[in-house]
Parts: sequence; structure tokens; C-alpha cells
Amino acid sequence: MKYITIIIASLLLFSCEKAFFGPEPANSPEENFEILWKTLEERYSFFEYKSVDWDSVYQAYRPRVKADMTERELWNLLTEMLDILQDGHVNLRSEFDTYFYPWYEGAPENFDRFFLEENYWGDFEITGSLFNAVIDSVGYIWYRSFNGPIREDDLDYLADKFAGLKGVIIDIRNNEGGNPENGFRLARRFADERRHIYTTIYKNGPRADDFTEPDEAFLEPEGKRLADKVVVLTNRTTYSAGNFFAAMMKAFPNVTLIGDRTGGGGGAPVGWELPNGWAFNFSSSITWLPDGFIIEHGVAPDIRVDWTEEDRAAGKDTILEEAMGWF
Amino acid sequence: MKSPFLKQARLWALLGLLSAVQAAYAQDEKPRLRYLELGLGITSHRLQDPAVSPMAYIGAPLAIELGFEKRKPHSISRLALAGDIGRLASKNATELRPMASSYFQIDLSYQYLRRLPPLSTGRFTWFLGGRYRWHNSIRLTPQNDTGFISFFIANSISVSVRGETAFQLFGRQVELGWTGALPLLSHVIRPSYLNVYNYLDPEHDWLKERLEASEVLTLNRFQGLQSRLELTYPIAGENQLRFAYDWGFYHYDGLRRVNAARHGFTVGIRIRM
Repeated sequence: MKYITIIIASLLLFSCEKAFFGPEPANSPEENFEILWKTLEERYSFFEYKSVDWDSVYQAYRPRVKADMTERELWNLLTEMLDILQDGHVNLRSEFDTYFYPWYEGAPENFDRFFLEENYWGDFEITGSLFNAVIDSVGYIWYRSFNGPIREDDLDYLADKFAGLKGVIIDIRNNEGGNPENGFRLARRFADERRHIYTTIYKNGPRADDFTEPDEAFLEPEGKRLADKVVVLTNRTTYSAGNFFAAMMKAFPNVTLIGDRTGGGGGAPVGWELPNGWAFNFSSSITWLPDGFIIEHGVAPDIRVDWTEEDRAAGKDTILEEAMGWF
Repeated sequence: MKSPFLKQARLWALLGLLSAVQAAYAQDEKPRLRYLELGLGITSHRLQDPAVSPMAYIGAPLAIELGFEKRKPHSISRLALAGDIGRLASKNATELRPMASSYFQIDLSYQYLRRLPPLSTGRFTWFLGGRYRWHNSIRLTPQNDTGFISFFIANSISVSVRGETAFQLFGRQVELGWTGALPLLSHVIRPSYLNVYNYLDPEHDWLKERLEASEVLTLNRFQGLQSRLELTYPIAGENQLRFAYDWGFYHYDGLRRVNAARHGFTVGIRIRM
């Protein structure tokens, strides 16, 4: 009996950790709103840059949250509030819908993959994630998503294929991003020397001015060089990792950007969740070019070109034609 | 010139001394026991990590233990490798809103205990010593996108105490033991404030950054307890079965507070070496 008492006492004694745990937030419209608003207040990186007064947003939206509102009503309210940030890296996800800000809205389309395939690519190859062709003695690569892995072997193959050509065009139009590491791998094949590509600070605390020390990022050449002369094609749909790729390529004097300004997405997105299970992302950093230009709203091309209707009717891609004329 | 007799006498004296020392030790000699232990079981975890979710995550990962224990008349040492693997989820989770993490925990520990003769006069034998523990708790939460990996890594030096007693059960002498450990000094590694690594810098050194942000803490900012209640039952061939109930808790008071608790029931076989 004595031993049974010891065992029971031990079980009771050792199960007392609940006293240390804080209460969990309720799964109510009010609490879900509060957590989303508060999380952004403490962790979102662009309030000052975008001149958004987040407290006044609270004053405007909090009274509209009702205990008896439906999930759809809460969703509509939250996404309306998030729209104020005008940030494609801010999104809200549930099983019935996904919200994101359409950063490309109103911009010229400037890209048509099937048009290119029909009029330019000829006998193209798809090496890993890279569509590639030789067009009038110029190497051409279309990279449609930075989520597509780029392997060093793919780049070695293309370096051999493009050897002796006039140069290479990297087409990242409509590339909405993915893993920046793929961009580093590709850019290293064009870099002429180690260069400062951009500088980044991350939020590191809840106060508005809590940021890490500036981190200067450098990129240096590595592997078989793909070309000495490079043109990168961009449009407004180029976003996120595509935006960072354009930014880093701008640092190299042998690279020219042609097309439209990229769509932006210059804050590293990071995710969390609400008590009701909706997941959300938000920007957590600020990046600027060596000249101080913040890339949240995109990277400007060296040569601004839009695709004209006349050229389309004539079977020409104005932006690609401009790039071809660059060699 | 030295005499051969004197040289021989010294040799005999040395051999005599060695023999006396050996005899003295032999009088105190008691059996030294060594056990290799393999255990399997089930756990119950409760985790409050704001790098994962505003909600607490709970679950019942599986546990596996591998241990080596050496018992001498006055000391016990134990080297153990323990792992938990499973899934933790919020109470609000549904099939369409997973609110869940894959959970992995690996602990490597070494404990050394010395018998306390003044306290070991009754039916209980008491030991006091120290414990080193390398605790790794990793949670993978896909819905958090780039912030999907959260972790808590702690290297701790603890003060440790053990009490044990023996009694008859089903005609056999079983041993009941309890061990408690309180971390006094810990080196803690946590994710960044945003739980995101600097993936925008091609030359970024993640490990260097995390080590630079790590902290050495004492009881004021890292409170924890580990407790283990064991019942050891002899079986054939001087081997043993061990039934253990573990309870562990820690509270990390950093920029991102963590509360974690673990209960574990394991059944192990102890093989006499």
C-alpha cells in the first residue's frame, strides 16, 4: 500500500506543469482579429516605408468585428484590412479561399509563353526547370518559377551549349518567385566578380524600430560561366524571388535588364496561423540595392519596353526583339 | 656498489606492498553491474511555442530509448539516448485546417550519481550527482511556410538526485527508483524572432547566426525539471524488465517564450553485460 501511495503521489506531483502554461486564445472572431492585427503590428516590416498607420486601421476595423459574424464575414473583413498593405507577400489561407494582393493589376501583360514558343523558340529543350533555345546566335533561357530546382549539372550543360554565342537572355517574365537559392545558383554563372548585391534588415522585436543590423549580401562567380554579356527580361508579374534575382543581376555591369519594372515583393515572407486554423504570411524584412533603393515595389529595368500591339500582330515580341538588338 | 641481497629485498617489499593493496581492495569488492537497456513507449506532449502557433500543440509521439548503466557499490552512471517521434496538433485542428507539426525530439544524456551514506540508513538508498543533457526538440509546421522549422536546443548541466528501494513483488525482489534532475546552467539555441533564417544572403551562415544569438541561462530564465520513476523487475539470466514513467517540463523565458511538458511511459529490457 505504501508503494502504491508513493506512485500515486509521484504521478500527482509530476503532473503539475499546467500551472506554468498560459491560457490559450479563444477561437472567436474577436480573438482571431486581435491576433492577426497584433502579429502584423509587431512583425510586419513595411509600415513606415508604406506610411501605413496600423493603429488607425485597428480603430477602423475592430468595431466591425462581431461575436456572431460568420466565417465568411470575418474572412471578408480581414482581407479588406490586409488589402491596405498592398503587399503580395501578405496573404491569408483557408480551405475555402486564398487571399493575396494582386500586385500586377493594371500593368501591361508583356508576356505570352505560347506566342514565344510558336515564333521564337524553335527546337527548344527543357533542361531541368530551364526552357532553352538558341535564337540567332544568342542563348535563350525561360525560367518560369523559382520553385523549379536549378541543378549545377543543368547549368554546366547550358554553358557548353551556349559556348561561343554572342550572349544569353534570361527571361523571367511571369516568374512569380520561389526559392531564392535557385536564383543565386543561376546568377553565379554570370557574375564577373564578387559584388555587393543588396542589403537586408529583418524585424527582430515587437517595436516598430526593432530590426537587425544591416546585412550586406555579396555574390561571387562559381562554376562554368554561361556568358559574358547577359540580358534579363522582366515584367510586372515578376515577383518575390524573381524580384530578388533582378535586383542581384543589376549589380553586375555585364547584365542589362529590359522590359517592365518587376512587381516587387522585397520583404522575406514568413508565416503563422490564427486560432481558427487560417494560415497567413507577411513581409518580415526590408531590402535595398547598393544605391539605397528599396525593392519592395519592384526593380526598374535599364531599358523600359512594353510589348506593342503592332509587334504582336507582326509576330514579334517587342521586349525580346529589344534584347536581341542588344547583342 | 649495491648488494644483490638489498636489490632482491626491495623487490620483495614492493611485491608485498602491491599484494597488501590488492587485498585491501578485494575486501571491499562488491559486484559491479552493467546493463544495456532498450525501451519503447508512448508519450504525451504539450507544447506552447509562439514560433509555431499562438495555440498549444498536444500529441502522443512514440518514444524509443537506448541506455547503458553501470552500477558500482557507491555510484551509478548512465548514458542514454532517447528519441520521440510523432505529431502534435492544436485542439482546434480539423482535417482541412491541420494546425499540426511533425515532432522530433532527441536527448543525449550522461548522469553520474554517488551514494549518500548518511541518508541511506533506512529502506531507501539515496544518491546525489550531476547530469549533462543535450536536448533537441524540432517541430516542422508546413502551414508556416518559410517559418516552418522551429526548434529548442538546450545543453544543460543539472543537479540530480536518486532514491531507490527494494521490495518483494510476485515472489521476486523488485526495485523502485526515482530520479530527479534540475538544470542549473543551460546553453539554449532558439530560432530568430520571426522564426525565419536569412535566406536572402547567398553567403549566410545559419549555424553561426544561431550560435551568436544563443544564450547561457540559469534558473531565472530557464526552469525545468526531469523526473523518472522506475520499477525494475528481474527476469531470467540476470536480465531485468524496467517500467518507467518520465515527466519533464521546461519554461524558457526568452524573446519567444516556450513551455513544454512531456509525460512518457516506457517498457524496457535491461540486458546484463
